[in-house]
Formats: sequence, C-alpha cells, structure tokens
Amino acid sequence: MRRRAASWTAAILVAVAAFVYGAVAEGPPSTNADRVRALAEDFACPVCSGQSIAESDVPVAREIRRQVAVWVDEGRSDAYIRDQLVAAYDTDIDYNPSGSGITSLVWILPLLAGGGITAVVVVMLRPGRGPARDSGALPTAGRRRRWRNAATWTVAVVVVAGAAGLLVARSSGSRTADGSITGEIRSTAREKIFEAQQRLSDGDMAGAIAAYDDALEIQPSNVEALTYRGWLTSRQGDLAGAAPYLDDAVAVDPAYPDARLFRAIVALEEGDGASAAQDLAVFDSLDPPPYAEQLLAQSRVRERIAEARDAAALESVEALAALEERPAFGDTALSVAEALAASEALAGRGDLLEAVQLLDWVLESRPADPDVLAGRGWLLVRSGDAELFALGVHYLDAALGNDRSNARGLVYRAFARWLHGDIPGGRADLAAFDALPHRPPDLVRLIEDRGLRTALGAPDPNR
Amino acid sequence: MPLAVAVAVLVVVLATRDSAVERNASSPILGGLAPPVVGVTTAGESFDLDQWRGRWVIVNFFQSTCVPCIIEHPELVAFSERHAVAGDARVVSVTFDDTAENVRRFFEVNGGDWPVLVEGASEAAVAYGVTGVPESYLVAPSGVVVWKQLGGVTADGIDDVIAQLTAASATP
Repeated sequence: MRRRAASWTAAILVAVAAFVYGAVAEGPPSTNADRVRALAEDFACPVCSGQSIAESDVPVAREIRRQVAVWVDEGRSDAYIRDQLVAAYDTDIDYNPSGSGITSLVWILPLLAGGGITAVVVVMLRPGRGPARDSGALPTAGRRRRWRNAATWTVAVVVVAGAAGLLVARSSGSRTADGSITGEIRSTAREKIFEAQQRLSDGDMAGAIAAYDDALEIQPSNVEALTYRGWLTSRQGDLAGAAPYLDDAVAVDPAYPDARLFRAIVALEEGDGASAAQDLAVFDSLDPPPYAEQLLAQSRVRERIAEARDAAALESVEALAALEERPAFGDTALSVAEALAASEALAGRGDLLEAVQLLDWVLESRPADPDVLAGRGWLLVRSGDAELFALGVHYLDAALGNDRSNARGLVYRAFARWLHGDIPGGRADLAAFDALPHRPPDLVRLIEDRGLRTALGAPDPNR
Repeated sequence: MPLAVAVAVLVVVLATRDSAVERNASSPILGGLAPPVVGVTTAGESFDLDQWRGRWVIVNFFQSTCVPCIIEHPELVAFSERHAVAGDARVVSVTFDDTAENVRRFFEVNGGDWPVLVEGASEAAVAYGVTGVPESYLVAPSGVVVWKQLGGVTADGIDDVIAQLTAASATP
C-alpha cells in the first residue's frame, strides 16, 4: 500500500514540475518582433482550419499580423490587442479564453472535473473499500454497488462540467460592448456620443446632456459633443449658455455644418441676424448632410435671416429718409445689398413707388451698377403695367449690357421673357445663369419657388 | 460509460452552438457603433468616417486583384451615382492587403470617385473583423453598423436594405 501511495505522489510531483517548467522556461518576448510573433501564435486565423495567425499566410492573417505589429509598436498591452481582436472577430479567434467572468469556467471546470474524478478514484482505492483490493473479500453484490456508486459520481461530475461548458460556449459567443459579462468595457467619447443620441431618441434630454458631458470630459475638443451639448442647451431655452459650446465647436472645426447651422439658429433667436447670415453663408459653402438641410427648412432659417436682413436694411433707409436733407448714397454706410434688400421689403409691403425711388437714389451715386439696374428693372417688371414692364426690361438689358454675366440680370430677365412669352430667350438666360461658377442661393431659391425651370422646360443642372 | 456520457455532452455542446459560418455572417460589430475608419485616401486626403454622420455609408473592403471585387465594382459606382444628388448615401472603400498603386490603377480603369483608404486600411479591416474580400458594411445615419455583406453587393440590394431599415424605423 505504501509503495502505491509513493508511486502516486511521485507521479503528481513529476506532473507539477513539468507544468512549472513549461510555464517559466520560455520567458517574456525580448523584442517587439518576438512579441508580435508570440501574440500571433495566440490567435486563430479566422478562415483557416487549425492554423494560428502566425502560421497562416492568407490575406486576413497577413492583415491581422500587420495590425498587431502596429499595436505592439504603439506600446499597446496584450490585453488591449486581445480585446480589439475579440471585439471584431468574436471569442473564437482567441486561443486563450478570458480568465475573467463566465469564460473563466473554461479554466476552472477542468480542475473541478479532474478533482471530482480523482476523489472517486481515491474512494475506490481506499483500503477495505476499493474493488481492486481483494476480489474475494467482498460479496459480489457489494462490489457491484461500489462500482455503481463510483460510476454514478463520475457521470454526475462529467454532466455538471459538460452543462457548465455548454453555458460557457453559449454566453461567451454573444459578448457585446454594452452587454458584456466578460472582459473590459471600454468607454470612449464616441460611445458616449452614441449613448447621448440613443437617450435623445428616447426623449431623455437630461440623460443626453449628461452623456455629452461625459464625452466632453473624455475629449474636451470633441466637436460633435460640443455642438450637440450647445444645441440641447439652447433647446432648453438657455441661449446664453449654449453660445460658448457652439463657439468652441466652430473654433475646433470651422467646417462642421451642424455647428454652423445651430449657431445660426441660436443667433437668430437672439435677434442677431447678421451673425446668423454669416454662419449660414459658411453652411452653404460646406457639404451638409440631408438632415441638416431638413432642419434648416423646418426652422425657416433662410426666411428668418432674409426677414431680419430686410428689416434692418429698411430701418436704415427709413432713418436716412427721415433726415431733413438725405445724403448721397455714396456718403452713407449702406451697401448695395442692403439697399436692394430694403427696396424688396418696400415692394413687399406694397410701396412700389418708394422702392423704385430708393433705387433711383442709389443709381445717382452708382449709375452703372448692374445689380441696382437689375433690381430696378425687376421691380418694374412685376408692376403689372405694360409700359412699366417694357421699361423694366430696358433696365434689365442695361444691367446685362454692363455685365453680361450678372446673375440678377440673367434671372430677372429670364422671368421677364417668360412672362412675355419668349420661352427660348428665357431658357437662354437661365442656361447662362446655370453656367455661372457662383449662383447666389437667393436666386436659386427664387427659380425653384416660382417654378421657372419647369415653366421654361429648362433642364436642372443638378440632375 | 463515463466516456460515453462525456462524448454525448460534447456533441450536445457542439450541436447547439452557432456554426462558425453563422457567427461570421452575423459579426459582433453589428448593432454597435461603427468602428473608426480613419486614414489617408489615394488622393492624399485625410478621411474620417465620423464626418459622414447623418448619411448612410457603405464601407467596402476590397482588393484590386480580386475577381468578385471587379464584378461588384460597377454596382458600387451605380449606387454612388444614384445617391450623388441627394447626398443621403455614400461609399468609402478600404483596401485589403493591397498596394496604393494597384488601387489607383483599379479606380482609373473601373471608375468611382469616392474616397479609397490606403493608410489606416489594416486598422479598419481588423476593427471590422474582415475575413475576406469583397466585404461590405452598411452604417446608418446614426453611426451604427446595421448590415453586413460577405461577397459582392448590388446597388438595388443596398437600396432595398436601406428602404427596409428606413421603413422599420418609421414604424411606431
């Protein structure tokens, strides 16, 4: 009996010694290349059978090796690299299952199962109870019962281990970033912004603001978080509180359309049409996404800016008109654009004569200005009077005589020609306008709103 | 007897688990925020997928010498042109185990004027868990990866997916 125990002890010692030697003999990799190689051996090639990334030469293995090398050169930890690869390719890629969470059962279960089976064997080998001791010492029924008990325990251990293994396999195969029960959950500014968007879609504005704050804590210069934090602040009625966020967003990325749009809306709500117009001009020069265009239309930003501009221009003109002796246009601070806006505002409220007189006053200082000539002609063309219509066309011809690529002259005359029944002439003017390198947005909208392109049967240059 | 039970349990485990192919088709990144696609294009310009937030984006992984990629390419061109005016959907291609020179020549011959990532391509490919080419992912305007295609895409197929997802999100 003692000899048998000594044999078992020796066997266990040899096994433990072998494990210890195997664990410490290799040592850590000494260079980055060694580390890349060691890591590559730890991951399975996703499309190969039984080959590691280190062994395989298929393109995906090469790409992963290349990326692992980049991460190693960047000084990333093994855990980081493991997380990245598992997040993209699932746990199957990892030859070394995680030692945390439920996946740790992969390590624990074999020990438990081994321990259980060892216990069964020890019980069977105990003096006076083991079936191998002396086949003649126990009755046959007793021996059978002990074998049955041993078999039952073994089966129980294996079944429990197997069921746990099943659980491990199922759960570790569905690991996600936000629902993980194993591994590290990394929180980045992008994820916080995503969380904010989800909270916003759930109507949880306070939660969304908190998530944007979290994103800004992680990355203070995140333009998206700054923009939407400012926007949500403004939607809560705190325009003064919103402005610094939006200003910072524009400072970080002047070409971010959302920031320009939101800042324009906030400026309008603060009564600052000029700042809103500046942001809108930049917004128009960018490449805004469709939802931004939709928000722009829904918020009537263009119309409100135009109304604010017209009102400001009209106020300036009326202030000048109230003077006992009105100075020459050239001696005032008014621009041609403001004068044209004021004349449109006057015409819009039915004061056509005052509108024409205003532009006549401008023409005294700038008689050859094509924009002013075109504006005056446009007022007359819309008068509904045949004689004034003809005079208006004369002014439009004069504008284009001075500058044949004058955008206002071309569009206004295209309208006049259409109203006069001269479809080919109107189409030619519109084609000339379409060919211009810069087409003022207000004229593009005028064409669209009044259906000029359809009326003339002219093609749309954008389609 | 214990061996038989152990084998039976192993069979149950293997039989009830998703097959490798199914797991591959589903991809762990589906339903999550799109991994970054950041780098330099063949035109030498910097690119960041986040700049396209608010639009549908097809992230297409390809290789200039891969025959299915060559067959797929006209469909991507059609999809890109179809959405050019509205600007509601775009394509970005990411090279996979390829050279910048080969990729430039590929686009000169086959057309397509969308950004093609050459620097940062490996990082993007690994982040998306790409296993072969062509492989495409559809990123929703919210920035979430909503669809994955192993193999070639078609313009109509992508539009169908977008229409279905748009209809599903519009349904209360």
